[in-house]
Amino acid sequence: MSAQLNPQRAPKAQTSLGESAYRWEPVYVDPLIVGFPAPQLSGQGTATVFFQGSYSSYVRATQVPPWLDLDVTVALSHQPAQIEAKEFIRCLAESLCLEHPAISTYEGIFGGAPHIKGVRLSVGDVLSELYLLGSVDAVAQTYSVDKEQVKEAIAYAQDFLESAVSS
Amino acid sequence: MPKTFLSRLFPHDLKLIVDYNLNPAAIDGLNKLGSVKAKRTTDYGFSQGADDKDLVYNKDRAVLLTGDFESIDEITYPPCQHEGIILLREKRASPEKIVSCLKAFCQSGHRKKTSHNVIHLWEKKAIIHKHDKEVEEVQL
Repeated sequence: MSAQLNPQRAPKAQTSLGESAYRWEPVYVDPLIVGFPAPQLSGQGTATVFFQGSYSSYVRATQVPPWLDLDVTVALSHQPAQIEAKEFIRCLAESLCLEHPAISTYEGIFGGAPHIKGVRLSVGDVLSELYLLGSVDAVAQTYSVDKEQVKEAIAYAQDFLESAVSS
Repeated sequence: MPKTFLSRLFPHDLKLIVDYNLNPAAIDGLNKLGSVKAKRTTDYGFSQGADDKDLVYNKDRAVLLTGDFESIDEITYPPCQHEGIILLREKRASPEKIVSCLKAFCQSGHRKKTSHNVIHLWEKKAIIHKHDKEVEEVQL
């Protein structure tokens, strides 16, 4: 899905850099980044909206109406590229959990790094142990998890890598 | 606990709580080091999915050994607010490598510095974050 934000109809904005920094260029909303399916883009919610063409700046919409070409209240902020990159990766990690329900980004474990749901075993750990032990069975046995959970972690890693590279 | 003559002569074992994501085969090797008593998080009664902070501030007064140095560090968990944290910085560490890192550290004479500090541990060196943001780098 790609949604255009109408510059004339999006007047409400708060910006830490003043109105001069307030520029409305075509933006798009990636449903993967948004983190919930497009039909639910209504009422209260949080969405990360990227300027088209680069991730150098982004706006975070705090109130999302049914369609993004209607009025939308946004908080516009310019942050260092490193923080933005982290935010992008975090959003991507969270959104991929919708496709891989066995994986979680619950913040209490590993500070929100993707891990097998309910287990202190991150996706990175799964790959690391797969490298060391050589098989899915061995990893599952060593950490008392299901084979399917291990496979899901591998699939998640692939999707994450492909999404990050293609973005 | 105040230090006595006997406690100085016979130092306490290093009580470790080994994070669930480290290979459990390493625990046997750690316990064979002699001065280390290591148990997995689940052996201390924690669930497989225990929170970071529950492990750091464990009531068993054990030093946490973890490979998760991205979210657990001296900034999130400053020294002196917990029993101690050892962050294993070697990637894809096999059980043997985990044991060799700890062995090198214990034999280097810096073992007692684990108490209440945050230690980044490699195979050949360690960086110890102490109270008041004091940092000490030691070669192993």
